[in-house]
Amino acid sequence: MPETLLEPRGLDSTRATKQDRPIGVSAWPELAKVQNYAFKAEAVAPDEFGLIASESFAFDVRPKIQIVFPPKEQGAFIQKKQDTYIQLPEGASLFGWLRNQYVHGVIKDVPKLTADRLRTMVTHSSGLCTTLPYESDSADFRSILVAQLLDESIEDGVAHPAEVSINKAFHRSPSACLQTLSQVLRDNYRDRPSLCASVLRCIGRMSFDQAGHWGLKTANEALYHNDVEIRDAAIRALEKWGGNESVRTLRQHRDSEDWLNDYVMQVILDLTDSAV
Amino acid sequence: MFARKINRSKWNPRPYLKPDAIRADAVTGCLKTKGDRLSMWQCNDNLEDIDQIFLALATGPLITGFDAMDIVVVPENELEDAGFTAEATQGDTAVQDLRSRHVNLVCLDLDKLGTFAKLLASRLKDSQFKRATEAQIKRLVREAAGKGRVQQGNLSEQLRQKLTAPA
Repeated sequence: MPETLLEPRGLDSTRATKQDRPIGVSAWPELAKVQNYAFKAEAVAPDEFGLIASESFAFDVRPKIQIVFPPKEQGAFIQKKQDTYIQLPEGASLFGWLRNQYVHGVIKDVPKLTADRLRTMVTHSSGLCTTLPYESDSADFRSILVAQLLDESIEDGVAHPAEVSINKAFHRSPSACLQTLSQVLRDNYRDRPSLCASVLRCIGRMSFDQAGHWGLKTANEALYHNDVEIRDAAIRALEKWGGNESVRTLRQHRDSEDWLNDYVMQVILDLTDSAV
Repeated sequence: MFARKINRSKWNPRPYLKPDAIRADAVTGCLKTKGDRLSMWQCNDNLEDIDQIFLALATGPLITGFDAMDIVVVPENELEDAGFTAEATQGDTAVQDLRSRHVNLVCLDLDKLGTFAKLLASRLKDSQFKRATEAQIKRLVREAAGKGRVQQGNLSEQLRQKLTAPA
């Protein structure tokens, strides 16, 4: 066993869900063979600890752990990628691991990253981290989602095909899914408010367990949009999730449309009644 | 009165339109016709009766969950004066006693659909519409189900599950 085979600190808390799988591997054939062991980096939201850079970035640190691939896979992989160094167990999140290393002071001077794309990262023996091209799953999900929402509007009370796509994407990788939804909203916030409203309606139909605080934050921001369709969708989302945080957000909202204000007031009543 | 389900937020003109314009999305999204017919429901001009239309709509065969809904009401005589023809047909709802309230506006063409859209827009301007919240819709359906008015076999599987789930 190599002497560097150490369990990274706090790895348990960074273990990805079972359905999580590395993304973008199809863009790198050599990695596809060891798909389950490719490294994954992810950010839940841009303002969280950011590791997702624009094109590539480097850490001036030599990683302290090495976890080997199973022998069968190792041969094929190492032959092709001699410089691979850090190897995490299946399901482990490189992002989580790096975050822990940062918290524990092993990695310093992590660049303040503002990029909004999800990337798969590969770490080399030099300590250099590189990103794979934009991963295809998210790109596919994004284009399918947009096509579905443009093709068919959201009907009250009727399930929309985009919800199925979102659910699938969420089960593949929750953070990648939310990241993509954020991306679609950002890309279309100015020019395609109806599309954004549809995305928000779908987000509102996710359970609070899925959308969580990201959902609340997204809905809260949408309340400030100048388009009434978007604000309506945001209020509908808050109505669906309910809870104290939704009520607090709604209480602070004053809409320029009287009918929407009436709706907000009634939702607050409904939510506070149901909480009693 | 005749009631029509719409999405209220689509009826506000966008900045690139004239202030009194009707968005094309409002027409294509809220006034979908089938066989040149437009589905509507008859009701009296009071809030309680409009709730019955919410109930009919919320128990349609395609409904899988509870959402807030908007209904706009138009007086029958306004439609008659504008040359619309209404035909009574059985509505697609799991509430048996509401099926006979369904009507279709028939023989519609582009002009008539435009006229209808303008009628709706003027009603909305006068706040002659009602939004029911998700909780209100849920309550209406649950109460009706409790009274045995909802034929559960005509509901979607998803809605049936939601209806039987604890409140």
